[in-house]
Amino acid sequence: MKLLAVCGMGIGTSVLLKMNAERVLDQLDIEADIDATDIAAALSPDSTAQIVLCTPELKDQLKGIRAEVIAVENVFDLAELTEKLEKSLL
Amino acid sequence: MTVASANLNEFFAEGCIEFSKPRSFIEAARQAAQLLSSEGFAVDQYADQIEEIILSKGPYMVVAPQVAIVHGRPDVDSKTGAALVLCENELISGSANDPVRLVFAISSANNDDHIEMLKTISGFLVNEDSVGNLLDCSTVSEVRDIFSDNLS
Repeated sequence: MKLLAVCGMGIGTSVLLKMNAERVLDQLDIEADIDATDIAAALSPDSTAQIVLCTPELKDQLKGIRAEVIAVENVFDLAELTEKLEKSLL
Repeated sequence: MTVASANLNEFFAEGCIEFSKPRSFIEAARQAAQLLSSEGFAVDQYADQIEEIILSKGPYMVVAPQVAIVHGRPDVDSKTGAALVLCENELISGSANDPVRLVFAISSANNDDHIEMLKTISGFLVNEDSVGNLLDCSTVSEVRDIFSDNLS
């Protein structure tokens, strides 16, 4: 399972999303590989990610992407992350 | 529930925590960036970079209710550091997490050096009491105390 965490520069918001999504997936006992990246890299046709995590303001900028986009409002809310990841993965 | 791996205070240099009454979210973001530049952690044009990112990509960096974490491009002339502007007023960024009251700015020399800092900040903010505790502060030393309480 390959996921991307996306933000404008690929080093801030996306890294926070990656860290907390990894914690949640670990708790759910789901093995996944999450990379933090920027919008341009996420939109690359070479991307093999099945799920892309971002904050809601970036969702429109990811239009046309093949992966499922999950918008996370509160990056620090592990319950929100758990609910949204469970819904897509289980 | 969360155990921080380092003392949050270590990442905030002297002078990098400030109370303010900015006129806009952009102004608050610029102020936080400017604290890093003034203390030698980020390049002089860091505030301009951050403003440009917000204007071009939207307020995606408002990552939780009342909380923004802004940053520009890593730069070899920058160092890992963090700054915090605590806003006395409520700011509208356009995010679902509005209003914004706490604006963190972070800087890094590259894509990796700041990861430990982000982990520590994240560990602090995953605790749902942290934002309220910061908003109850009226002095920098109270903020420092709250950051220290996060020690594992």
